[in-house]
Amino acid sequence: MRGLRSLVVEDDAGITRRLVQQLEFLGLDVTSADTAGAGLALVDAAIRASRPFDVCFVDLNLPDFPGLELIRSAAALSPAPYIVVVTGVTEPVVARACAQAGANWWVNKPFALVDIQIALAFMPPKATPSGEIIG
Amino acid sequence: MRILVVDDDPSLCKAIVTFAQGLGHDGIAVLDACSALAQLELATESSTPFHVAIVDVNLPDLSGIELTAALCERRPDLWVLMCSAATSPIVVEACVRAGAKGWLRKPVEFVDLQIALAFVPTTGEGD
Repeated sequence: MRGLRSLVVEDDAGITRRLVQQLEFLGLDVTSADTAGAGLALVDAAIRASRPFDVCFVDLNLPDFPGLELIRSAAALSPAPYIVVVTGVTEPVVARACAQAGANWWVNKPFALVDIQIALAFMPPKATPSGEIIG
Repeated sequence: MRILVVDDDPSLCKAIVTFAQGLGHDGIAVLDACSALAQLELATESSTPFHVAIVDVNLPDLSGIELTAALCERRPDLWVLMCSAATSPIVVEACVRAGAKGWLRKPVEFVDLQIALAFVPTTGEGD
């Protein structure tokens, strides 16, 4: 997991702080945004800078537009990040919509470190330019 | 979707199958890995393949990890959800390497099962 680039898009500062701490503990580089628009801009800018995010943690209820739209937009980019929904919503129909929009994993709030570890364990391996497989 | 449940706890098997049937899926449960492989073969022979397997990590004959590897070798398109109270990173990573696609923590909450099933790629059948 070390060295993976992650983005947290969450408008609750307490949850962001906790998730950032957990990801840093696991050795990831972490950036955060508190709106969907800011998150999508960061994803796009990272791709343009040839330093794309490997994984994005996305809340569904964001202040500017729904996390579902952020998921759909981020998943359509290339390379698309591995997208983990982090939410208090527990409606399967919403989960299905997220999966269809391109989300890869779902973590219910409140979450524990192990939930984040499991989500990251299921990420597809990432090939580095040197051909090394990490993650 | 056709769902194969593999767990040595009969009451959990029954609960998952009943719940899956309530959602409109077709579920079969077995208590060990050998029976699971037999059911997989039967389903393939009868052209009614399973779409999802829910596999306990700890089974009485093979381990759930070994069973997952065997299931995925025979049916690479099978979506295997591991089901376990164990959350050791080593075990989780072994399950991923074996071909598992998802994880259900025990005790199983049915809403978590429903969400996990929502992430199974489907062709629309039983969706």
